[in-house]
Amino acid sequence: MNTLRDAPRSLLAVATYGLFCLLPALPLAGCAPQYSKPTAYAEANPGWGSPYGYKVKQLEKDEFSVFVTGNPKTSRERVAEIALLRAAELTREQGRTHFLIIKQISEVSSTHQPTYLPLGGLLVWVPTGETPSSEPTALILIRILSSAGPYPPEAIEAESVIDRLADKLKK
Amino acid sequence: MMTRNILAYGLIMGILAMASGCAKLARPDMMAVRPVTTMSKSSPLYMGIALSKVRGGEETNPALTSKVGNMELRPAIEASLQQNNLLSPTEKSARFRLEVFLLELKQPMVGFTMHVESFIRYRLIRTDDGYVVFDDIISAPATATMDDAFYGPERLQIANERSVHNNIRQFIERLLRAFGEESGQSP
Repeated sequence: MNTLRDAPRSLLAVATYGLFCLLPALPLAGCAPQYSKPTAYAEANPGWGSPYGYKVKQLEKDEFSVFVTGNPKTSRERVAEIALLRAAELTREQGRTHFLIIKQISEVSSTHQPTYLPLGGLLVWVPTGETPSSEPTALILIRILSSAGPYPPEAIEAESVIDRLADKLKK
Repeated sequence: MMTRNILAYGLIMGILAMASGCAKLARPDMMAVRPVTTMSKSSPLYMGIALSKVRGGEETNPALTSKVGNMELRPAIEASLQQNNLLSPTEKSARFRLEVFLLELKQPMVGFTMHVESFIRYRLIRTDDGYVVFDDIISAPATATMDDAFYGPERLQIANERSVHNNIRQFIERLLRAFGEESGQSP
């Protein structure tokens, strides 16, 4: 039978047990997503950081794919612009001036956003359910053109894209 | 009572979180596509394609997330081509060579319902002259729910496999249409 003298020890045991149980859930629930702003111009890092932003893959020596996922607060236009700006900066990083868009896809993907229950004074968020949501995506395949030129009419000048979009997207 | 409920819930979430650390490889046989048509022997595609390159896949790290690697994607595509009478018996005799690039496998970080979308580029090149006869990106979504698997990593693995399966099926259907072959419905 519990007595008043045992109460502090019991509370400590409960607290320790609770912490032990919740600790493993931290990687799953550590940061509750609050998408009050559209996706920023940044690299996506689904493993350890945000799943939103751009990802680049090299296909051939001068061919790259740029894939962008936006959070539900982001417009399709913005993810397309992030892809274009990343393509332009990639061109500049390669020491070139022009690139071509070979293929492009823009769509809105269905998804579910987890809903969280804050526990422990907002330090621990535990997923409790999910709500249907949608995320805009843009995928472009680009070919970075040789510096020698001449450039075809559909070639895009990297500097003009950076001038037009960098300030807008990097704010 | 309230404390006990919270602790029980925390324990369940803890077990789920720990369990989510065992990512599983995609199974090629679950991604392969069964016949979508009876291919005419007079078609240039009939046993005419060699799979030359498969790239872009990411290896699964068991401690992280289930992915689809090139090692799993290649046999899945080869089996799909073979079952649809598209795979050439030898690389030398192939009229076309196929290059496949997995551009992106869009996956959720966590969730009860797993939505996965694969983006794959397929390039079919005529062996004789290097002419590109087909070059397209196909996107294919798929979902796995708690009805499919209670275990999170298994749910993600199933969603990955379904997405790639749908992607390969769409590719074969589009390719057949491009060459004037009729494709039927297939699960």
